[in-house]
Amino acid sequence: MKPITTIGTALALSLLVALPACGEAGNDDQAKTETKTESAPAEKAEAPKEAPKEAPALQVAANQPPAISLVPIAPGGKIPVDEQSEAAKRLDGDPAAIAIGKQLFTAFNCSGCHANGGGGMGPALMDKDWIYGDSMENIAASIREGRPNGMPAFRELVPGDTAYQLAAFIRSLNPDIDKEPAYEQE
Amino acid sequence: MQLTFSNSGTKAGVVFALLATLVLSPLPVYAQQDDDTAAEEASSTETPKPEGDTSENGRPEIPAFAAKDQADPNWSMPGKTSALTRFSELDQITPENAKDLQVAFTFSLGVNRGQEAVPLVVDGTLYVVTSYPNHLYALDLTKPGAPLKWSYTPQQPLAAQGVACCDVVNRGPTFSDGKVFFNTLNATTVALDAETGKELWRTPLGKIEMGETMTMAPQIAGDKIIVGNSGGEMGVHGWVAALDKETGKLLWKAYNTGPDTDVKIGEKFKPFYDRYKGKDLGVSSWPEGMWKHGGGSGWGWVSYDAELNIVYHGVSNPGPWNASMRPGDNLWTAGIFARDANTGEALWYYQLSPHDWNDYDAVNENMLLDMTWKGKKRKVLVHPDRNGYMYIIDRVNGELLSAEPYAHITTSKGVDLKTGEIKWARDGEPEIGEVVKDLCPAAPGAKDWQPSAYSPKTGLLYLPHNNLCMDHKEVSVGYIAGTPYVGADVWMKPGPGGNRGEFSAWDLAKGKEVWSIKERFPAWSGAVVTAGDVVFYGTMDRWFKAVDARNGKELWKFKTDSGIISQPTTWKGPDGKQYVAVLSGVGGWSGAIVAGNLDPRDGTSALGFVNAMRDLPDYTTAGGTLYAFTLPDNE
Repeated sequence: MKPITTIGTALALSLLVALPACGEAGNDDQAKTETKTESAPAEKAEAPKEAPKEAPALQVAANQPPAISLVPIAPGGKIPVDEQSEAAKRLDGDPAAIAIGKQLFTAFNCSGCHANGGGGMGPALMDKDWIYGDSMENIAASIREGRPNGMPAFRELVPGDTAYQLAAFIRSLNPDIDKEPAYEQE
Repeated sequence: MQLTFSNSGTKAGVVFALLATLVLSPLPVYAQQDDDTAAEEASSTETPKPEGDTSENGRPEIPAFAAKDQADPNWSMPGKTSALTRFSELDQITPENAKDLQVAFTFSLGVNRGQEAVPLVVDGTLYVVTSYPNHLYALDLTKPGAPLKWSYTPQQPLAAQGVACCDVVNRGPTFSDGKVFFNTLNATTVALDAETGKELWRTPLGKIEMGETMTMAPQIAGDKIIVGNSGGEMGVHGWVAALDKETGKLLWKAYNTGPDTDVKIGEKFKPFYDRYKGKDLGVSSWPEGMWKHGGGSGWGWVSYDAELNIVYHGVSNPGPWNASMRPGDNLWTAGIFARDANTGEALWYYQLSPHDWNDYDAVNENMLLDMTWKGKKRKVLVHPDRNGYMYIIDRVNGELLSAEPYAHITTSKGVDLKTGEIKWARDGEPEIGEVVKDLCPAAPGAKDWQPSAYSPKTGLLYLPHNNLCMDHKEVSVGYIAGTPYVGADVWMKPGPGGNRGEFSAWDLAKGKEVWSIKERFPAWSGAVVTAGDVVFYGTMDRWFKAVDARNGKELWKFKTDSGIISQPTTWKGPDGKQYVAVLSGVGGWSGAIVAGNLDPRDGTSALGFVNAMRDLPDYTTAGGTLYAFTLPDNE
């Protein structure tokens, strides 16, 4: 069974069922590849081949890609799908992963745009604003696939646990990252 | 010349000393200041320059080839003339009546990023280009309220924003023969019909996939238009190019690093100094192959001597910033080229910052003036460089005539006028990871791109500039195309006195500062000066100012909606009145903290500029508005 967080399980399942159909209707590349259970999500034929053998943990995640929404809201007051892969759960907050992620952050020139978390050419990563979501899977997806306003797709450079190690480091820049804003109940 | 900071005993000086101290502490807390207590005051420099022999230097004149454009009541190109003088002969606005200036009309630019562009006016139409997505608006000045005549937005990918080093700025369009020309962020030059806004041609010149963008204002050179790329922080292979004004066809493209054939160095190349002679120095002055991604972009100002048919342009910093990784002089970066406008062939070159180790791009304006220098008539080029020296160079043969410091400098100990070589103040390279403290000027230089203005009436150059120092740490970096190639952590801070900016008047013949106005933030706007002896410039804390060209006395100021980093212009409207226009809209490198909503807890943000600008959000929000001012009808 693929990893699914307990909250919103039913909704997540229903969305997963619905996804391929929607994607095909929209002639969406990613949706098509998701129907192939043997290959990694959205991985094109020319993607690095070493990824699976290097990282057994990812294979689990790759067989059934975690479904992740970018936003905290869904119609009908439902909770959006929020799956975290085994690798994401294992490496979130892990000091060794954070240390490796910090080195990767410099090696891949992430620091050239995001500085040491405060941003520059790219947005700040240590503040509370997360345009494309703040979970391990959200951040890993941003790194792999890029984002429209200038974030390049680093997919080729982040095989195996690499994207998650980077995500672990990035999340460590803001200790308040998972804190929900408090609000008054009537 | 040593700059004196004679006001250090005043209230404002104390405030700034306090600010300077706070910036150095890990989590500074800024005292909110009332605007009126800002350290804006003109002060005569007290220490006379101890150099003699300036009596034989005459007041520089604007060259004859620029006379027609100078007299034009329009403002049709960014520098007013192709000599980049930014002097207008309009004189309705004077030191006596400037206090009565009022808003004539405004226009929202619809973009809340840094607006560095120059508003142009040609025969009753105002043309303005915004930062990305580079809307070009034409406003009809013949109608009440200057309504929109047409607008044009280029097709370009959102992703272009991700490879623009220092906010998604644009420094303006230019106008010639009924056409408006400008560059778009995705490295494309566009020509529009000035009357209708119809696209006449568009020429893609670079690839954002390789980190190339274009932010500079094109320069007209006869039947050609000269443009250059940006990307000195992205490891691009920098170039300057000429396009056919009518068709957009690429006529020549000269790279600024690499083999002589790429750089267009051949028979015509006659540099004044022998060290620039030799085969393929743009290859051999680099470690193996590093010139291929060594920066040297052409993002700055281009000037054109129509009489000599020579184009002058600066070359940006070498990449990466980490200088230890690239032993050698790293030619032809951080220097000035003179090129044959017809062919692009290099005629001479002079390097201002050999083996640059502080991001001292040499792309600031090369203003073309004629003057008597030590008793002899010279065609000169005046270049206030980022490294802190005011260079005067013979623009015919590339000989250095003068290099006087105009700001606080610790990175060098002068320029040898015999050899033309700068005397760097350091021994060897720092260790990787070593923090080198108190380098002045900081990476944006004593003055960045913000263009100065020259008045032949006063003989003074009006110089918006910075007063910033930095701590600098080299870190290792690998080249990945399309990503930053910097390799340095930088923390900028205010220079001596605590004022981060300054607007000064510089006597070119005497080689010294005459008056200076201290500004809280870097003076990041351009300047304009008029025959009415009024100088205009804007500040990042939202003042648009008129000062007396003769003595720096503040005549008038207006609080705009956002900080000013653009280039003011002045022109005669269809009603016969003199107007002055400027764009508000803080951002750029210096204002990235506001425009990019950066996190002030990380001083290295925006390549270290945030460390010196943590309090900017207390003074301005993002914005973007065109303002035009004029005198009341009864004056």
